[in-house]
Amino acid sequence: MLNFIRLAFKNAFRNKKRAMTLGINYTVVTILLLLVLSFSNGVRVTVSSSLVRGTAGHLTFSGEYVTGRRAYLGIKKYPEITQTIKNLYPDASILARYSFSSDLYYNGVSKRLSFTGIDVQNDSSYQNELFFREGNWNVFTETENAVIIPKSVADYFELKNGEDVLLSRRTRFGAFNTGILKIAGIHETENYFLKDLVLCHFDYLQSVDLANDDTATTLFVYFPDTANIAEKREQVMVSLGAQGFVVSRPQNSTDAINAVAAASPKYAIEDTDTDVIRLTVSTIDEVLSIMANILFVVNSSGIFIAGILLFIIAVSIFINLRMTINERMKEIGTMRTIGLERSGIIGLFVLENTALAAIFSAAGILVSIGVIFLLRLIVFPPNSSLAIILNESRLVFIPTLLDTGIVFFIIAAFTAFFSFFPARYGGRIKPVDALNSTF
Amino acid sequence: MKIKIVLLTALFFMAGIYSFAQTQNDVKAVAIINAFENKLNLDGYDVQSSFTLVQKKQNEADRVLKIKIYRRDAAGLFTILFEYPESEKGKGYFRSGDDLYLYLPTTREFVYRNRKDDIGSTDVRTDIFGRLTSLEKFNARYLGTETVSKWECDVIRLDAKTLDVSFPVQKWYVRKTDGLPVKVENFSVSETLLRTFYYVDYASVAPGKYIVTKLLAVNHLEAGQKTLITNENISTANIAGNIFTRQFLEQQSR
Repeated sequence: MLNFIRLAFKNAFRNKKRAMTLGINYTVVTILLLLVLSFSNGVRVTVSSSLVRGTAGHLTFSGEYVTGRRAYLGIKKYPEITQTIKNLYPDASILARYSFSSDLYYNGVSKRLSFTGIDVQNDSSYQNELFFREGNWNVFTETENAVIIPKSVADYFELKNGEDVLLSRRTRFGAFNTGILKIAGIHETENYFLKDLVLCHFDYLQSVDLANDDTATTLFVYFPDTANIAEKREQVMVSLGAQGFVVSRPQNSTDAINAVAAASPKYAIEDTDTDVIRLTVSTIDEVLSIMANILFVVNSSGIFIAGILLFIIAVSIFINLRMTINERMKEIGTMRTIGLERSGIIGLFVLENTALAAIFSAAGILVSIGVIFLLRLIVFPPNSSLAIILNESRLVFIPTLLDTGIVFFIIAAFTAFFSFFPARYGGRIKPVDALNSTF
Repeated sequence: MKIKIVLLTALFFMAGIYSFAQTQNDVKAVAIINAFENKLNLDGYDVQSSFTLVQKKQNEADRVLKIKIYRRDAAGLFTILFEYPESEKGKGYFRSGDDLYLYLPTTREFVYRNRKDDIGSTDVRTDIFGRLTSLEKFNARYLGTETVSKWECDVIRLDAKTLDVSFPVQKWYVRKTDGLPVKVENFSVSETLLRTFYYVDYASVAPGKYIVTKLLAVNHLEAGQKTLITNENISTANIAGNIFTRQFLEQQSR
């Protein structure tokens, strides 16, 4: 058997020109598939990591509550919810946020921005994500009405650290309220989801929005690891449901994304006499599901192109093998005469092609690692349209052993399958016909 | 120590008196409000007129809106129809009591809006075209007199009873000569001045009944942003009942 395999590898390169032409196709397909898969992995890891570090938890709570026929967006009784989760999962860390969109005014110029309020005593998750151009984290935490703004906003208003700006918004009740914010920092960040972050104190935004002390807009729950998040959500939902909260999962990916972006608009009228607190609990996978759709398109495009190349390969295999069989008629006749079975002939030709595929796929794997290395050298501008998938201004590719193995196996299996039919033709030729062939 | 206690006690009582005053109507203020509301609420009359709104913004070309208004104050009804520019034509508002609908001809749908919606993204709110009912939503306090332009005015402060009004603190400057408002300052909950309305001119539509013909709205947060409104072609002829329906707005856009 070993000799048989050795013979197959040797024969694979008998017609060097033909072997190279087919082999380059195998290499290109391998490179393409590996690049697509590793890019897809890279995007998923980059986006989820940026989200988790910035604007989503392993579990993200959003909600609304109805009181006096008015439905307000937000999470009422959030300290009670926090305690329930802590009782279930003492290792979990829970961060409450208060967010809304509002106009910021300076010197008669305005800009609509999304404000995020954090509990500065317990929430330092943004501290290492922001690079301060001016100001610093400590000043921010010490000043109640402090705000950290992105450099783009500072440039828009021509603002400097320490200056005062006016925040004006229609509160959840409908009345306008205003507040004076003091610039405590001007930031830049690599994290796409934080590039427009305007950071304030939780209590301050709560008071500007005239909300009660027990109201937040989102709760982010982080577990020590990401195992069994869905099961943990079920446990949390059961416990909160037992306490009278109406808890649900997001209906679709849009719901999940909305959960992350939950803010505080004006109340809506709801025709009910029952006061109720509704919560939506989204897992990080659900929040990422919209990204999964994008990745599906990326993957599908790559696989489609690879499919076309494989089809070309299939046709090439068929033609090449028919030509090879015709060229090697006497060899087939000799092998059959000295006792090699029909299946042996078929096996040899299939093995020859599979060996060729294996060698060039392996080369493709090595080349794709080199291509990935080269692509990683390209630095994209931070404000490019690719910013959401960049890490340190570079594309991220994460090739895995499993993906590599699957690509290698698929190409080998594909080759074996499409080699079988022309090889069967070679196997069916009678020895006497093969020896008398005049090709 | 004694002085501190006396001062704190005095402060406590003053705060108490202030908060009591904010939650109670001042008789003199109520009388002034009732007087000008009686003059401006055109109960018993149908009124139609054409408003032109010119919005001025710094470093931007003026924006002009023309709207036709139909009012029936006694029934709490009004219909607003956009006539200019072409992009806004066919759009309209219909208000019945506290319900305000915005009609969008492009999608042929009615959107339920806050009754204080800004008209065409200007500084003018739909509620200035309707019946005034300040004392239902606000407590009124008399602040004294001040001169606005050349007129001596009574100054009334309104504090919202609940926070579902756009501007929870308002100061109305009411001309002593004819009892009509000439200026209204609108403040946020934290008492930042946001907008001022100047009632520049009025026309008499019936004995003792007036309608504003020139109004200037100044936005104090956006530098140089103001909206000038002129009200022309005022008529008190009867208006057909079907105009105060949502169907009317639909028909106009066909």
